[in-house]
Amino acid sequence: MALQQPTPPIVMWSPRETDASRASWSFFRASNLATFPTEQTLLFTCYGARIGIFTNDTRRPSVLEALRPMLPPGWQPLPSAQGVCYYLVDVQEPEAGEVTYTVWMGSECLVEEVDQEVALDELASALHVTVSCHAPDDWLFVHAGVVAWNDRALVIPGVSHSGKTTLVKALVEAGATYYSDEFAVFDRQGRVHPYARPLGVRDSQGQVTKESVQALGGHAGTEPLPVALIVSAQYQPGAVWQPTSLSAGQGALRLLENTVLARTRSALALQVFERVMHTATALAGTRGEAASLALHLRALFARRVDERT
Amino acid sequence: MSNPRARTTDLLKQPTGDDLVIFDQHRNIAHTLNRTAALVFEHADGTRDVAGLVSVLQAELNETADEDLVLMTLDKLRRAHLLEDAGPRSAETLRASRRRFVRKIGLVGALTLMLPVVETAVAPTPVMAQSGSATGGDSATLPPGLCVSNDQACANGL
Repeated sequence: MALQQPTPPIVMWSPRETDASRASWSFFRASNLATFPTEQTLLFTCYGARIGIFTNDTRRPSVLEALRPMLPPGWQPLPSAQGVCYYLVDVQEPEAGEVTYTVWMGSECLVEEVDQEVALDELASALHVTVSCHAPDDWLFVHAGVVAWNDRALVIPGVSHSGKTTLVKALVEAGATYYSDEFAVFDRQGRVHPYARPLGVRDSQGQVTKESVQALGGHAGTEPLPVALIVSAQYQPGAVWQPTSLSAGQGALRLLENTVLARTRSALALQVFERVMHTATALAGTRGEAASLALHLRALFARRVDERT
Repeated sequence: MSNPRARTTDLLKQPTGDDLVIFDQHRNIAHTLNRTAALVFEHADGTRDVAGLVSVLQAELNETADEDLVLMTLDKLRRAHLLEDAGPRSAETLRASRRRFVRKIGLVGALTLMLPVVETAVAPTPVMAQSGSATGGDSATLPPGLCVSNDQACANGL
């Protein structure tokens, strides 16, 4: 497929539309991205999703260099922009010493005239979503935290702000191998693959800081694993973990209700989750502090390994 | 009243463990049916009346299965929009069935295991899956590059 200018049939201006954003869009619209300078282009693939980021930033190092450490985990460079989902980063210096950033996802303005930190945070966050939505149907992305012990995965399905990162962090600190605090990536055999981005740890004010798993004293897994346990845990201060066992179908439902493309890949999801539930058991309950549950789950895993051997 | 008939259109079915997971493509919701509910669903093909379904449950589950259990199960399936001819029974009839069956459970505790379970979950859009918003968004509210009414189509793909 030939690379074309970014002129989707319908240009959807965001509510933040201003003269600046129009000018920004016009700049890229007038450009041919196929021949965009390579040093102003970042093309990569992750789980088969093809993504291109283009910028007018000619400084060295450019905004793209600052973005590299924030790219989705396991990304690989792409040789061409063919078929990519594209992002545009417009960098302006309206006054000396003041640099602003406007980020476009296709024709949608994500953020306008913000500082670099905000722009990159928004862009990095959107890239994770793009990967999960545009990976080919060999993959199924489920919002979940994932860790492993003894070559078996523990999956904690849950939406953003449900406390899964807090629990994943506690599990890693309890000795688990880190796989993800955002996505359980399933293959067609029902095995879970790593999506080991830095953990986005939220403080009591809601501020998120990125922490590498190494900084927590842990390490990230690299191999796909069968799932041993699915834990659906709602946080409630002071609660004691007294879970109920879920049936296989109920476990599959907990995964499905957190699946990114549940509506369009429903047949695949049903098949994959059936395979997951061959090896997995599922628990649901209300949890108190994450560290306490982490120790409980570690002991549970140890018992399961004993039973297997 | 006509024999109960399970819906067959716009449904994906996947046996999972002892359960049957069903995805309703029309409503974008998923259900998991336990064995009792799955047996009634699978055998409610319009050829069997309630007595016929009782026979199925007695043969497959337990001889103590009765008409009240089948009526309760059909009611749950009906509420989940999994029956074609969903002419509702009167609320009083259903309440009476439930009362009789609950009384029987009191006498025969093992019947608890036969109670029909139909659990339902909404299949989220990508935005809902991320945010957990139950109301947040159909595809019209998604960013254009992520609008996945057909996930093969990438609205912002070059």
